[in-house]
Amino acid sequence: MSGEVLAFVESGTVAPQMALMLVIIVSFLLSLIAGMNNDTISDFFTADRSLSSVKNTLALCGDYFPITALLGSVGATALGGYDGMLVTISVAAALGALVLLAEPLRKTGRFTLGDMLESRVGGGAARVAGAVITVAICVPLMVVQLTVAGRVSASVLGLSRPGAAEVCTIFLGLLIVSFAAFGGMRGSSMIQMVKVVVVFGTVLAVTCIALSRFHWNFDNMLDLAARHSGGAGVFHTSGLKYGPTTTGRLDLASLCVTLFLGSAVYPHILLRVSASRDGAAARRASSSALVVIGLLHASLIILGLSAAATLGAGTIVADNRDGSTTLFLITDSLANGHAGLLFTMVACAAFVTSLSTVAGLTLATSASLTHDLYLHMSRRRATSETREVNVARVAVVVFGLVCVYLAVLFNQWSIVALSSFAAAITASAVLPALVYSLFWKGFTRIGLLCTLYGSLVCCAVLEVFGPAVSGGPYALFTARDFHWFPLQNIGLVSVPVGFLLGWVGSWLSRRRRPHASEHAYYVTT
Amino acid sequence: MTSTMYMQDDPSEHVVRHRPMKTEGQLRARLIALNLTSAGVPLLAALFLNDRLATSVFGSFTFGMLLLTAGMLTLIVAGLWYDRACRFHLAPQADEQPGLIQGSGPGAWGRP
Repeated sequence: MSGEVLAFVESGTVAPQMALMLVIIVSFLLSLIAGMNNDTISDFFTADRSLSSVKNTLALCGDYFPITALLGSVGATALGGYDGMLVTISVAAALGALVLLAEPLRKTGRFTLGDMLESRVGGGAARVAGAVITVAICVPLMVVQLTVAGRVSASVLGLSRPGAAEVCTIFLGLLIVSFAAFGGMRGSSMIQMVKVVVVFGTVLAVTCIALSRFHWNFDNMLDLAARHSGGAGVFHTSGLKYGPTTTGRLDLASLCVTLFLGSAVYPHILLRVSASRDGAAARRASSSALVVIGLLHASLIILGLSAAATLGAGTIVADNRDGSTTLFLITDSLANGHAGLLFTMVACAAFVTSLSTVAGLTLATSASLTHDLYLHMSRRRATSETREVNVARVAVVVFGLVCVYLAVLFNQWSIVALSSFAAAITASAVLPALVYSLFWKGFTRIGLLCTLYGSLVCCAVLEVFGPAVSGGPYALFTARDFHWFPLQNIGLVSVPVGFLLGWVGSWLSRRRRPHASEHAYYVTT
Repeated sequence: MTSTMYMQDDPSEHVVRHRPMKTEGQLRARLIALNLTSAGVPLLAALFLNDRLATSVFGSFTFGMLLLTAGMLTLIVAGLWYDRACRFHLAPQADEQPGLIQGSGPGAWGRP
């Protein structure tokens, strides 16, 4: 395993383990210093909307770029050819949707999903539904991020004993929970900024070294990549990821649709957008982030092609069947003499990426639990700001610990179903609800509840009876097969259902009560 | 920002208010069309073009890669264009709208 090299090779100046410790200490100090002024709830969750445009753009890029994107994109391109590149570009393209939504979202002046939806249709039901959807998205996502981070940390540090990944997951989880609880949005933003600089710099450096190995001849690299993966007729056409069948192509389309529509409206991204100074700043940050994330994904695609050209699919699959260690393998292959430094950079990038993404998710969920459920549902609106911040910190810790426990529980299981489920709910429930509430006058509270709960049920049913849970190659229960839905990615069905439910619900409630939308207007004004 | 302001029905206000809303809608529609095209064309190509994606355009650079590159570049340029267009066409008028305060504003459908 390439990662074992990291554990034993020294860079000459800084040992890799020391570099990781340095990252932890710097991150902890940054979140401590930045979080000293978290006196009010606005400070804690939105950094009092005081981040400058550049800082906000960097932090948005950081929030948008999880560990699964860093490790998954390179492997997907190397193993999936055209399919992998299409999936990678779909993730980056989702920011195009955020460019559209950022300004109106920020103009609502709210910072949680439930709060934003409540500002449109009024009533506590919208707030509770928003909180339920936030938890339903963030718990699986947190488990996925923590599990991947634990596995990668264990393999990079050369810890191969049974239980090593679980120990790494617990250690990382506790660190992140403490970062989020102490630092709040300010601390999280600082870590996100550091992460973007480290990750972007590392990926760019590795990409340049990879291209220089081919004497900057991109044509030669493409040719070799295709030859090592069964020829141009296989590598550059669709079918490598899910097979060249109709179901395989529909599965690919479903994944791309889910990523394109869902990646930009995760709860932690919404929280980040709401931390912008104003609507124009949110829009500007989104369009600038589109450029940065686009370049980053382009670099990852080049690295994936370079991995396919240098290593070939066989070597990558032999190391890890889903290709999530491809970035480390290609770094190892490119190292030649200065392995320690390059490896340390990549390991630090992966480590800080996992730290910051989970911190963002923890904050978004605790914001929803505190602001939407505790304050508004438990009739304690008159509580003091200090008490509210303390409740938020407790929510961060409790939610974080529950997720760490679940991540340890799921460590040896396939996480494909969890990540597919979270992405599908975001695309099928959050996006329709936001689009309708921001741009459609006729949207009613019933329509909103139909979209949110209906999509949640639809996603759960399709996911449980799909190949991601049983019957598929990466299924959660490998020994059992009770699936009847053919697609591993359910977005192709669940997204239209989500939009349809919102429209039908609104139409039916307006028929029953002709002045429903006017009522909603008076509630919100 | 109150409902009383919304009830004011001064025609001169409508002239100022409706023009930017229309422009905002137009800009938004164009960006949606560009985004859907640039993300949708490579996906449709994957579904229907099969082996033609591997056709060489120049050297080892294939038609499929050309579609992906063009799609990504279009998305980035469209995002930058939208931001610039909003800044130049909408921001001045938006500032003139009554009752619009920093931190909270109207819904995008035009309600004050």
